[in-house]
Amino acid sequence: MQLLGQQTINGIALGMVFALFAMGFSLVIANLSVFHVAHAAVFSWGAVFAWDLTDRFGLPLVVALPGAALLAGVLNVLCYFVLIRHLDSRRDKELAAFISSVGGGIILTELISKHLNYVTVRLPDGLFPIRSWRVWGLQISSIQLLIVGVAGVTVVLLGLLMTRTQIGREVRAVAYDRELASMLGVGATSVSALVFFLSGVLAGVAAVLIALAFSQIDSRQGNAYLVLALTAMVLGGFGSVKGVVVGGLVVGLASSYTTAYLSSGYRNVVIFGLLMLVLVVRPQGLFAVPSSEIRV
Amino acid sequence: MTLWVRTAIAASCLALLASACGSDGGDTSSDGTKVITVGMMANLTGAGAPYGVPFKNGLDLALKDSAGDLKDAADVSIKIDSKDTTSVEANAVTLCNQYAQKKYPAIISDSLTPIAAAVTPCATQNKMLFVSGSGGEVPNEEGYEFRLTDVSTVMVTLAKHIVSTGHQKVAVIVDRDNPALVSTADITEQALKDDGVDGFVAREDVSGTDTDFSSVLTNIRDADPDAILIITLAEQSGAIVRQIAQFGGFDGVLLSGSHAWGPQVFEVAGDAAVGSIYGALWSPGEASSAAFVEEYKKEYDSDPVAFSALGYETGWLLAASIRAVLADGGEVTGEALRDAMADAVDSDWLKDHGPVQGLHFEDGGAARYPGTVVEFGAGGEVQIVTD
Amino acid sequence: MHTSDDLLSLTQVTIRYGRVEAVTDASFSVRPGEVVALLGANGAGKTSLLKSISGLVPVAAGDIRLRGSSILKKRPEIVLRSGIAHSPEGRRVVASLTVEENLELTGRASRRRATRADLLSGFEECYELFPRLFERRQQGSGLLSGGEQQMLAIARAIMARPEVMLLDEPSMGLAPIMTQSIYAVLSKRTGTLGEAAIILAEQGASLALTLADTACLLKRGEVVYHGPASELTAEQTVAAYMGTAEERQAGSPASP
Ligand SMILES: Nc1ncnc2c1ncn2[C@@H]1O[C@H](COP(=O)(O)OP(=O)(O)OP(=O)(O)O)[C@@H](O)[C@H]1O
Ligand SMILES: [Mg+2]
Repeated sequence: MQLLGQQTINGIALGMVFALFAMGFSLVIANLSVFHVAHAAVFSWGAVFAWDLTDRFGLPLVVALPGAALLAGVLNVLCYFVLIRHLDSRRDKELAAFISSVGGGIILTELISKHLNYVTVRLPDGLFPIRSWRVWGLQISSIQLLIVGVAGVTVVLLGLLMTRTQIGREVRAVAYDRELASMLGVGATSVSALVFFLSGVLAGVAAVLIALAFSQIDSRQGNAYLVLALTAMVLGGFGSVKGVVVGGLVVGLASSYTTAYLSSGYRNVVIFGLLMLVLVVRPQGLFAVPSSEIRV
Repeated sequence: MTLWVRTAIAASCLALLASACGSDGGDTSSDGTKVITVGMMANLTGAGAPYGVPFKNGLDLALKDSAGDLKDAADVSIKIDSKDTTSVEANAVTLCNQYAQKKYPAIISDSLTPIAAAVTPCATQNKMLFVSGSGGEVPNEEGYEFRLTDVSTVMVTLAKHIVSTGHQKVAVIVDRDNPALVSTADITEQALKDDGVDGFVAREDVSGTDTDFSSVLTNIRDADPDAILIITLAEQSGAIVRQIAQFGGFDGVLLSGSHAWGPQVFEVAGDAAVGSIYGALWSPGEASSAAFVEEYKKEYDSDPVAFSALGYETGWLLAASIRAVLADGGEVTGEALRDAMADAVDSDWLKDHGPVQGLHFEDGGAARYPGTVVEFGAGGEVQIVTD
Repeated sequence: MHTSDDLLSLTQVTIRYGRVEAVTDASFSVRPGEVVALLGANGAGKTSLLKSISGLVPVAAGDIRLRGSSILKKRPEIVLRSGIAHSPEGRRVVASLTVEENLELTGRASRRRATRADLLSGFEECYELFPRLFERRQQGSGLLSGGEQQMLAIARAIMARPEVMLLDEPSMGLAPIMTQSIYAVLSKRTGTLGEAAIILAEQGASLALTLADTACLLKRGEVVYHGPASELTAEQTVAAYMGTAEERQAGSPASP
């Protein structure tokens, strides 16, 4: 029982990070129907930015975390303008943008390798105080609290932004119907740029948390999370912020329960088996959003 | 296309061809000394870099140190033709084939059993002596492969130390992607049993690419061990040690690691690694190595690690076997070098200069020597804790 | 063509989709507060013309001017902000937003400096015209009936406080009773509806003509009549819709 509880805590912490990653990815899909795989490289860059800010410039975490997230957001906006925006007028723009994003992702990954001189780096020691507490027989570490706290706050802020503000309404309108939104006074390009920014920020936050928790930063880091985040997104049903969070948690929990009760070797088998199963039983995902309200 | 462009292209093709097949293992240098070229598949980047870089440093130093003696004794010199594999097997095999074409008598790989396994058939086929810094068993019927890492003896030493310091419940984390590390775990388990412990209380497999160990650590904590043995490559081990500290609930548990550990573990884990121990193939504290350590520090401005010592040992070993072949009036071929290895290991020359004490090879090409157990101090320096 | 008291003028506008020419050399103008009925059969080019005004489809030749300055090549959101609101064909509402969110979205997006008070008075005006929207203001707009969605599409245009409203077939696909009630609202001509010029694109001529000051009749992309609504004869309309008597004799289809 205790093992179950402990593995649940692990799974939640991990799942929140998947959810952050997946949410950024699905924001872009909702906005442009573009499969922006370079998102993974933007994620990796997020961790690298955090390393630059802390290890090289000696900034504390409270500055470096938002700083790295903002830089990742800006990088993603650049991705939009360089890789995707100019393909807008093509008939096959979704496919073209996907290929363009694949290429951009490869270049960004290579640039990290160069930037890091082909080695794995890590955030400096003592950046975040390491503690752990026993609560009802469960061990909870300060890192886990940080992950759940930061990711939780980010998710809530994003939810509020999407539902309560003009920006959120504009993003949702563009996601629903780009042409109509422009008739209603919404600049679709600036909204897309904003969406890429938000998406990059989410990736950046997730990356810094991962870098802190797993003490490892390298160029390919994001790729490992891409597939898991996609799974989270499909499980959650593409739809709401809520769906993606639940999808992320399901993947995180599946991952830690498999390690607990089977073996870590079966982890991917279980996660993707689950994905297949859900797609067969409930093709619309666990939390399908009515088609009249598709996306975001 | 103008004439001169065509000429230039033809000329550069010719130059390429010439460079590809021109040099072989037996050039002569300007002063009349015969030069023997040895190919190296160096893991200078990628997962093998923590081993490859110090190994190459040690090797270069040994060749420099032995050059004078070798010229006096046999009027030859050794040159290394080294390229980076980026720790990828396919690249290593490609390099091996290139070296075979250039007819080098011997090739060297610094570490990583998968690379040794991939290269050994190529070395055997082309009858090249193949010295590897790795430790995993690979099929090697004709005996061209010699591997310098002795996994078993040092792990036996480590297991003895763990048990003798009062630990009974040992949990293990193993990189299941690396066969050498998997067999290291099996060997250690057997050694623990030989010392009267019931094997491991928990065994968790991880993948070499894993970064999150919270679930694995939860399982281990559930088994309530008094010692944890981490058998993964150095950087990953460092990450695990660090996460153990972050995770909490492991107070008083002895952390230990295999021969794959080194200073990188401390670099990654920081203070979390202080007090943890590992089975070192070699450590700078060994009395017989003082001269080597000092010279290495002077040359590279850093402390030598076990793989620096293995590289240094390899350099002298090569020099000694070439000398042995030439002393018998033979020709320096891969076959001759292979047959001379036994003599080389026993030679006074190697005993005087090689830092690895008590080295000998078994029939399958595996090295045997006792190794030591070392502990990380507060600044990351290691201290020998066995006698 | 352009005279100083024209608010909006189109001069020899030609619109092409690839090789298809949807509108050819269309010219007409709109004075402040005027209601223009833009009439024509299926495929006559009404929607294309309105979209070209909004900047949604490119104009191949000709010019469109608002208060004397060209609005060609301006992006749709800029056109809206300079005073032209477009209520598109087919009752397109942002189904993922509630009724009030739809209104607020345009209310804020159309005027960057809209205050809370502006917004509230906009809501008030819309709800007064369409009490049904008030009842359903918190409801997802995708769940509204067709007639209610049409009301929302018109109300949304009102929220932008435009000088020109482009209403594309507000009667399309609605029951006669619903059409009646929407036209009843449009004919009130108070508030924004009273001040703004309206271009009312319709297939059905009779209802639109009851409201219009001016009529503009399109036949296969060409303006065949532009003048006072009251002077448009039934023959002209029939000819535009069905072809002239001779054409009908020849058996050529009048509209695609
Ligand atoms: N996106 C498009 N691509 C190609 N052709 C188009 C496009 N939109 C409209 N057309 C063509 O342009 C012509 C005019 O169409 P438009 O929609 O403007 O007519 P309309 O008068 O609004 O008709 P309706 O009363 O049916 O709405 C038609 O022949 C139509 O087929
Ligand atoms: Mg139309």
